[in-house]
Amino acid sequence: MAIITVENLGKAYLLGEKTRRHETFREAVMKLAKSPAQRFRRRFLAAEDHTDAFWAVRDVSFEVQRGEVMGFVGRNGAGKSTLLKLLSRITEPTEGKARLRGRVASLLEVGTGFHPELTGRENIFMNGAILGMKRAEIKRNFDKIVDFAEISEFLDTPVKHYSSGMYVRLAFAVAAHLEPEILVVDEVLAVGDAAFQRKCLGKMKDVAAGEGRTVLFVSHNMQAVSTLTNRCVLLQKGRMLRVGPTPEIINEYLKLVGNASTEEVYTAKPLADKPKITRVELRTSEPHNVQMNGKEMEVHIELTTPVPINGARISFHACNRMQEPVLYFWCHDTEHPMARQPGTYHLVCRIPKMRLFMGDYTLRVHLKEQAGGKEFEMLEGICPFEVVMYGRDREGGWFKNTCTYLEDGDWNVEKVA
Amino acid sequence: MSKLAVQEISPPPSRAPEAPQDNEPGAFETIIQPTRGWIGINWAEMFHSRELLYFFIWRDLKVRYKQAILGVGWVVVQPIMNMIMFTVVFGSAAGLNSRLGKGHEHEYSVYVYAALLPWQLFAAALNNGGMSLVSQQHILKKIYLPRLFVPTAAVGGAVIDLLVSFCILFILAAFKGMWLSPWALLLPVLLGLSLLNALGVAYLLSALTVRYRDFRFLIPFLSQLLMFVSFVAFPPSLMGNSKWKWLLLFNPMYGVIATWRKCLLGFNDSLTGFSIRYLVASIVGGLILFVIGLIVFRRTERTFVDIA
Repeated sequence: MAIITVENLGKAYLLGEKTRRHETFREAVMKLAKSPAQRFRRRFLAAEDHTDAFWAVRDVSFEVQRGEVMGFVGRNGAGKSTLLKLLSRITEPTEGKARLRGRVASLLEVGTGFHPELTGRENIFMNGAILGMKRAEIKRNFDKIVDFAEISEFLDTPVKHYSSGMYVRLAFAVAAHLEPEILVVDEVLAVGDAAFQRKCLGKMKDVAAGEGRTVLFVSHNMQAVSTLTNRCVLLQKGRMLRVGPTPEIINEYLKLVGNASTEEVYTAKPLADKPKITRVELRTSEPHNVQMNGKEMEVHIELTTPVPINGARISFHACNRMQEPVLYFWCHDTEHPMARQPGTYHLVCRIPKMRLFMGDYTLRVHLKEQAGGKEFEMLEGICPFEVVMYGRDREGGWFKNTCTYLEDGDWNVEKVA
Repeated sequence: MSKLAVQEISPPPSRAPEAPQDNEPGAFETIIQPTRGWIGINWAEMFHSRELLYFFIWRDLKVRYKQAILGVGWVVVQPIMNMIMFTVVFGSAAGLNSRLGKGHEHEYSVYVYAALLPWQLFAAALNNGGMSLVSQQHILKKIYLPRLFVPTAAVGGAVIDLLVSFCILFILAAFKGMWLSPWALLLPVLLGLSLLNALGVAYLLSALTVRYRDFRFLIPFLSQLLMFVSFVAFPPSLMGNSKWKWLLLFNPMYGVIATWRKCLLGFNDSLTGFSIRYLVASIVGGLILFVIGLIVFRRTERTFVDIA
């Protein structure tokens, strides 16, 4: 019997809910007073409840067998995170049903519930309890957790005095000692080191196959998906496109991402009410988005905004074919003031020596407000470009996938004996 | 079939064989679907993860007085400061202590303190309980847990404070040459009644605050207003025979506080303002508050993450 059965799961947001998240008390009272007839009609007479609803996830059905590691892939906004929230019970579905047979733990973040004022020891208990561990279970694993985190000297220091490395190690250590039958994880797992991944995923590759842990795993990173999962669900716009073996699904996903843009230059129309990235263009060393390794490359980004942005941040990744980000560049308002008045801004990022190894890449561009602020836009898979090596000589030639990038290195050879 | 036969000859096992055990795979089954009905509380799940409630209360207590010189001492100092303030302002300056009768004026501080016990609990439910969901949203958005624990823990922490305060009251009364009334044995029942009211308010307000942040500003005002109309700092005899007295029936805290005063110190009904109808009003009002609080909380909880 399948350990997880999901049938027609769906989650709708009322459009009103999305646009007016912080309805105030005054508004509610006004609405109540203003339109009793309308409310009455809506509540009792309206035939279809969800007519003006936005379905973040709909009609998703699949089964997962015990010991299987199932991946969920899809572009941004495909509904991966919503599905994850539904399966970890953070929010309730609007329709459908999911049945999980076994203890479930979800890891959407490590260190949930850590309190800066509490000591490492106290936080292990607090975090463990929040993740669903019993006190006895935490006690039993306590020494192992401390060993794993390598913080034994600081066990009784409040975690606010921890370095960020220690903090993260402790958080991962607690998570790694969860013993659920079903684990729901977000990309956090991909961030952890190999030892952590092995611990979390349990005995999946052990001899006692079938007794291992069942894992649901959501990620953007195709490398992580392909190494960790055996089957995947491909989502698009809240619908399930396909379920199947990971390699097939990844291929399909890459086609999907590839199809999204074959345009060398990305362009978009400005919006009347929100900032928008209106143009992204590459100036490569060769024509048609072909870049010679080691030569200069420029990325031109045009930003059009009808309103001032509070601390704008633009950043972009170059991602490889597996959608793994391999380069990162950013431009913050604090260093380069921009978009403080409405208008169109032209940003140029000059990369003097493009060191990426040969292969196909795309850009992923982010437009945000200052830290913790709104995220305006995230463009994925745009401006595909190819890095080539034929301008650089090497005895024996170049081979694909040798490495990710080339660095200058000076050799010195001496005869010493 | 054989199982049936065995059961016939041997006494039934003390533990049903199908009773789920924690480490047995498949012992738990989670069904995720839209909730129907009014309340739909999963009691079994709450019982199963009850340790988390202790942890929440424990964390609140641990964290509350960190980096304060007095530390846990504030549990003691806070109500005493309140008591001194009320005794000086209302007792001595406004001369209300004369209402306690000749030769009893010095008992005003005890009189005030007895009411501060349940009031502190209630104030914590209003202030901490009301903000609890919003202040813990970073956790609630990342992981599922029985969310009813969050406002419950806010009230639970205040119960510990109340027990400490009770010891102080005992000392204070002894110091003033007063004895606890034998009715004080009803304390656990009274505590239950106070909890009913406090939890109801905490559930209701925490849910409303998630939806309407206006309550963030309303609650301090509400708390002040309620303190006045519950006659914490001064005797209800101030009202005289006002024709508005029936309104007190709608303030469940009034009956609770009057009963506390009566039971702890055996003050005369004319001083405590106690009357059986106020007690009944408190019980009924408390039950209504609790049930409405639960319903509103549960309805908000379903979509909490989407609106917070």
